[in-house]
Amino acid sequence: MNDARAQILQSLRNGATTTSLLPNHRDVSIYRHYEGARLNPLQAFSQKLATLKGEFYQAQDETAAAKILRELLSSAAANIKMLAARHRHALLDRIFAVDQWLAENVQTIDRQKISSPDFAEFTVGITAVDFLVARTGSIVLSTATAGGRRLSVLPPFHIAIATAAQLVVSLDDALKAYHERGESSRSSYATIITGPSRTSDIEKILVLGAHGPKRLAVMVVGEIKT
Amino acid sequence: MSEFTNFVSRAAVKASDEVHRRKIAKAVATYDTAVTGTKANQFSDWQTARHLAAAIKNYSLENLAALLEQFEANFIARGGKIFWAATADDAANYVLQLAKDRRARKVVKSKSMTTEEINLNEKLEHAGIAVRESDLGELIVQLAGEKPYHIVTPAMHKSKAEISALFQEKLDAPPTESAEELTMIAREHLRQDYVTADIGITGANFIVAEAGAISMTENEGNGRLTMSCPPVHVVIAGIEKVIPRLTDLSLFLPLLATSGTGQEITCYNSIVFGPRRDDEDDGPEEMHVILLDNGRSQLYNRPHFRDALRCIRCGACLNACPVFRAIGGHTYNVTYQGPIGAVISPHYNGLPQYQHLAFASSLCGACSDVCPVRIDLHHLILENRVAAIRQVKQGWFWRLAMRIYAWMMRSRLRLNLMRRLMKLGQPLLLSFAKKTAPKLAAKTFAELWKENH
Repeated sequence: MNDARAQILQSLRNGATTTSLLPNHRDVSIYRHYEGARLNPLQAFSQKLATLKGEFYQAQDETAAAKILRELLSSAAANIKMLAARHRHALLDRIFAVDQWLAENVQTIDRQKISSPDFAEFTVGITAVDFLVARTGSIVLSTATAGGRRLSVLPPFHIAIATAAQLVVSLDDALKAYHERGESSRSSYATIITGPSRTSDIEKILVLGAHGPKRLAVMVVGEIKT
Repeated sequence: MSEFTNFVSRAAVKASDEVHRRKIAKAVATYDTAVTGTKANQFSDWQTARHLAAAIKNYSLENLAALLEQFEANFIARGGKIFWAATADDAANYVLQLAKDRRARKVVKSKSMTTEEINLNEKLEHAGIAVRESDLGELIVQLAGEKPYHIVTPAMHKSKAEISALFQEKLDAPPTESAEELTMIAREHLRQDYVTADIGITGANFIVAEAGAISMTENEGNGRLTMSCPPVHVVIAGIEKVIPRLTDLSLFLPLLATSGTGQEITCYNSIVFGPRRDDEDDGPEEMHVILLDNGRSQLYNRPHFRDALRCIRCGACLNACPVFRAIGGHTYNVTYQGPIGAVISPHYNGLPQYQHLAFASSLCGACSDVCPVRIDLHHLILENRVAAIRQVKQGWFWRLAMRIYAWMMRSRLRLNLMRRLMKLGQPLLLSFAKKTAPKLAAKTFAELWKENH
């Protein structure tokens, strides 16, 4: 608390004028009826993600998910030194329980490991997600669900694993649901990820993999209701 | 008038630099194509989206004090620290003191025009603290020893060849003309800095009152790394950045991305509610938000000018401005270039020094047309121009010319006479100018009317 606080607030109060109503963006239609409306939301999500140069995979159950994950890691190993990490999470635990190779080759990180400078050496980060957003092809992650802040951004390859139940249509739906969780279950940090890291800072030429992951794969596990 | 004279001569040089104009024309054309496509693809009603955004921002400004207090209470409850900074120096000194207290040797920064506004880098470097700009465009201008050229695209004016030469000289990098390879050089250069920096500094695109959170928009991931790795996270945000509800972001994030870069939504939009919680595995131990006034509350209390506080810093008005495209960002010699800079800078920095900005506009209104929060930029620039003219005593030549002009305009006969004189005088005048002008028509409208009726 400092004097500036009182001064600034006083100055803003002195100048405040009549209060208009706060409009609700849900009351008006401004967005184009998105292409996905003809498709089921999951197809819409995967198409949007593909246009953003993200990869999409679908697995019926944990065994299928483990198989896809193994293939993904093997394909990555051709290009990079394979050092994969994941966090503790019910869905991830179930997938890793069915595959011995995965359990042996992917480290389950803890607080100490993720905070050490050595963590910068990891090349694959495997996390759960909070929401998938069909309209924008985005995934929403919060620290409580996705194993903290670094795991999904420092390694150059991010694999996000979700269930179909986490799919929502719009960003508004995701933010509303997140806010309604309430204070006690809210993480200190959430991020909306829309495709792999990118930049156009040099002559407006699009380059993937600026500082965040160069590669983003999203896998949806479980029965899909259509 | 010296800054004004300097500005005019800098502008004259830049405007006739064809290489510079080609680079900017190419960048703006790429931007225009992307924006036009995204507006059509994403929005069925762009105009209503603008009205809505302006209305939410107006509400936020009308309730600014209460919303700031709401943000503060929610953020402090989660262990965050707030510092209210009346001036740019107060804000910079707070960061400096914090850096000293934590014995910081290195800070890593993501792109933030507000930190440019308070001259933070120079102050930190002066105190012997290394500053690593991590946004690619910011890194390029930092290595070149320049200021950002554009509030969204700091290195818009640099070609691949120039960037390669810079990286060879400063980073010992191999020569390349590939944008991808240049990006990878920057990636490798900064990789270790994120995990070894003592403090991470970012800006904020929005302050969400009901959630006690800040929202930060980016594409590269350097912002996420800056907020994830160092033990201390400092946010510097103008007090006008407040929006009331978390779900308001579902309008503002697409709006900002569409107008800023022509994307539907940018790659990363992070919402930070506070420092790491006890049950979380990583994240900063401390988080500080500096709420910066630095002239904003003054702008708030000026009739009409409050609207300028709706600005979300998308940069659309710069790209649309014929003057910006001709003279470039550095010519303005201020933190915020282009039309929005011409409106706010004189109030943040004191008018006399920045009166030239009010003249860096053709008042064509292209800026107001593209503004996603409907700021009537060109009329506000005109108001600044009136204030600038009133404040400074004009020279005898100007006063005489204006008198003659007023006298001429007051009679039809004299106006016709002036037109004849201009027609004779135009070729002579144009022989001094570097630009072409449309030829005056052979007959005036009044003459044609007389002949035909």
